[in-house]
Amino acid sequence: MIDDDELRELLPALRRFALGLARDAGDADDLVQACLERALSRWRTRRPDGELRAWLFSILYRQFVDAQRRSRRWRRVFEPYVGDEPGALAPSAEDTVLAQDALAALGRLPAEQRALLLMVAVEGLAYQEAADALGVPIGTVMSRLSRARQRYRELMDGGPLRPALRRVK
Amino acid sequence: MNDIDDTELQAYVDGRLDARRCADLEARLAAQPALAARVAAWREDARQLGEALRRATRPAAPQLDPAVIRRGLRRRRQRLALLCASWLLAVGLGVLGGWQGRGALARPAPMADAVEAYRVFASDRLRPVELRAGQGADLQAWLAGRLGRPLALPDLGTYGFALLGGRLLSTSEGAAALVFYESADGRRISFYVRPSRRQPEPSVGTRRDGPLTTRWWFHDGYGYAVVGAADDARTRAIQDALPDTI
Repeated sequence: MIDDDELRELLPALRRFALGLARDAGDADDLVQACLERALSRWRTRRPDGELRAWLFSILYRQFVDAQRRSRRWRRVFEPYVGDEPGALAPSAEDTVLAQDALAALGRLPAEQRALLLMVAVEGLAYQEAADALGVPIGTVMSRLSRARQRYRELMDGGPLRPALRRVK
Repeated sequence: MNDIDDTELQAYVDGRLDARRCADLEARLAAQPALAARVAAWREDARQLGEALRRATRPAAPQLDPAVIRRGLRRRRQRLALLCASWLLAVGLGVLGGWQGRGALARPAPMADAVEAYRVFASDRLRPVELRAGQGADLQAWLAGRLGRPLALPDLGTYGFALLGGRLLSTSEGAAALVFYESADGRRISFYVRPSRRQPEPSVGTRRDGPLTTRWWFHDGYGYAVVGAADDARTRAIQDALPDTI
């Protein structure tokens, strides 16, 4: 059985991770909800020795990938009516320019690099845990992490990335 | 790109190196300012990203509380169970209804009208027939004329039944002749003839309807039936003998 208090403690990290993946606060919370529902109804499938947080992250990531696949299918149907940057985080008054740049740069990384950077660099998961959560070998985790950091840095160096100010390449 | 292993560099950025390797790497980084700046930038990136996400996360999310999620799951399971139950009930009722209604769809039993006629008129003590047997040949000629075929009324005297009389009835197949015989102890047996467009297979049979037994047969465009009390041995004897004499 999963302890509710343990889950409550992990909720902020899960929401952050989901937000970094989905880039829309509403979508992110939907993801967290789907993840918790799955975790609470399938808690028997959890490995007894595994860390709860890494297990939840892996569930959430899989939910995200599935949802993305579904929405791609839908977007093809509705293509003419949808802008090319759906789900971008709406900037709010208290967001600093830097924070907006950071999220915009994150959003331009491929999903698997984004997930990895969030797990390891932001949430501090061990490499092996991240490898398990993403279902890839640890060697892939290391090379992908390196690429993610370099790409992110390039995007940040490239100047402001907010839609209104983005440079045309 | 340099003599420092990339994996080691990542581990350093993520703070996963032990103290000795950490110090060793820092010494080497000191000789490469460009790389050192890049590593510092990576660390700063991670910090900024975490900060940005913390800011962007909406404060409270009561719908994400585990207790709320559990309640939602329980409700969903209950709804599903309810749905399954109602579905089963619907199927069950359908099956039950179909089973009970099977008689409505089944074809009527052969010569069922003969049994109905018996039920209506055999119990009538006052006037079970239109024309009494006293007129003898008249009855036979009258029925045959209306039926459209010659009709020889069987003599059941050897079984203890005397001709009582007959009446005409209308059926969907045409005019039907209903003839009653009566025994000394007041029991009645009917002989029933009417045209039949169909010739069912098998063309002869016996059927039990409650206290009544019916022997029916079809021959040459006509249907025949002998109906009487099932608990009377004479009825069965007559039923067995009659088809061969007509």
